[in-house]
Amino acid sequence: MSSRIFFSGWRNQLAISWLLLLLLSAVVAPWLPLPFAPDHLDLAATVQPPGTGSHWLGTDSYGRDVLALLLFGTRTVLRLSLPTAVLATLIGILLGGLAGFYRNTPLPVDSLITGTIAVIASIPRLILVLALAAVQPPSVTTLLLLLLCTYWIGPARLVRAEMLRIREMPFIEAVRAAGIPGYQILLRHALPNAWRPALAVFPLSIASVIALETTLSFLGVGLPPEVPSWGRLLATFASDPTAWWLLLYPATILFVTSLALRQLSE
Amino acid sequence: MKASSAAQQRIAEQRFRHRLGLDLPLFYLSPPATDTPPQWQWHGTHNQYHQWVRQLLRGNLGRSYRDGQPVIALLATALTYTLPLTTLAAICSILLALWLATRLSVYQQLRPHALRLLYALDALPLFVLALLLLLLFANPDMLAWFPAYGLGEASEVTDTSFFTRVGTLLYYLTLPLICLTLVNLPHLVVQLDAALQHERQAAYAATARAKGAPEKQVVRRHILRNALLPSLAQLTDLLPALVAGAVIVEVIFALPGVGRLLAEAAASHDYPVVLGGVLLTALVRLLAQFLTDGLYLVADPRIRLRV
Repeated sequence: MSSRIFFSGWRNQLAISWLLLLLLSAVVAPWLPLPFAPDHLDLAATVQPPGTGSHWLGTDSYGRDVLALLLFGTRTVLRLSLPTAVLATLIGILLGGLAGFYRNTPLPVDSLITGTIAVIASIPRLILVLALAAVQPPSVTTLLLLLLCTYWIGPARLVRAEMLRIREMPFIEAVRAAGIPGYQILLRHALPNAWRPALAVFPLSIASVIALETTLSFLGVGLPPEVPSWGRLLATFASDPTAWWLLLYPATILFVTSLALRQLSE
Repeated sequence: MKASSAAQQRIAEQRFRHRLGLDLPLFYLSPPATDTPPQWQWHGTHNQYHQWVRQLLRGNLGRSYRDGQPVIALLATALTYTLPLTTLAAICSILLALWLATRLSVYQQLRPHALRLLYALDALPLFVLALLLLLLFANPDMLAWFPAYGLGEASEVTDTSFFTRVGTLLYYLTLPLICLTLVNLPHLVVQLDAALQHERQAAYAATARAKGAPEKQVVRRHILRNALLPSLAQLTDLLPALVAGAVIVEVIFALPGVGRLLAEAAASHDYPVVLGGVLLTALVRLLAQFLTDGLYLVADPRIRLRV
């Protein structure tokens, strides 16, 4: 999308302040004076609309407080999406750089890496993670690893393409002529010039991880039910469509966060 | 007495594992475990993966753990619902994207607003969109225009003529179809729009305008054909995206398609069905690739197959 449309100051500021707010609320959530803990079950008050008792945003089907679930769900989302995106970007930069720089000369790294990328890309992400999650119901760590397996290919592709361009440039030829060994050229000269495209998709991959995680939780194959998650709340709504507050709040947060991350990647 | 029943149960369990082939090692090699010698072990062809591939080459995907039906039959039945849904969604989203992109190219003043709208639509995950549509259009409290789930009563589906049957099916597929179309629209339109914007600057477009052709005709006759070429690559991603989208939509609207089969199999550890489903989606991807390459050949005479 052309950057001209969305590159105006206040949009970026709004996006950044929303994300900072989200980060802050996730960090301080355990110390906030909330009326209820997220794992406090109240089976006498299940699926209550907002404002009943001191449940400001209502309760879910186990009588848990929606506000607390949302706040602690933010923690889950961040704990999952940030490491996934960071590690996937790093791995992607490294493998994409290797593939693009060495091509197939000493070892067939390029064929190996592009082949792996093609195999992973041939199955839609949701279905791949769904199938892998079927083998072992994931905890936060295993889900992180699963997501990592599918997310490194995006940055790797971009960095590889950029590296193919960089490695033909005169300055690389100059350092090569100076007799510097290949791995040093890669790390000192080529990679610092080729990793930037991966940065542009970094917020997008965070947004995509968040969407995928909530979708998995929604389908019931994601994180275990005791882990608070936005997707679980939405799944509760799907089984009880009169509880609009279970749709409205998590969906709004999800939507605004996704929008803010997209804004940042422009 | 108690000990013997426990032993019997263990024997029955072992027999069951043997019948499903679960007593074999998973792969050709297995890493050292606590109860095996401390080095990697080679099992030869006597492993689950080899057997699975051998059966696959004979066109046999095994049987579901849940109800013992052949996986192929399960997938085939499910495809009769998923195929119309995804095909219709593909056609709808492509046509709508074409219409919208050419519209936006002709009426430039609408472009920023429309693109912003699509941008927002793209940020909405599919299942949230589906839930919203469900809440708005299949809700007795709001607008009860469409059914919330399923494919109609059995009597509606069996005892009527062909056309009413297709009509009922379409009626029940409307909301899922809208979801899938809307979710794939932003990508298609944005790509096509970028290509159209690029081609608008070309000299041949200026020539066409200088001859006095109205903007509509310039876009439709001259620009669109050239802009379509780079957008063809989008098709490769569209079909797999539709299959993945079908999982969510079919679960939400309770349609008995491949997606729901896969989601339920994944939730209940029904590995043969999961593997079959994954294989099917990979095949769809390959098919999409071939289709795109074929369309390139048709669309651009400069591209030739080198054999």
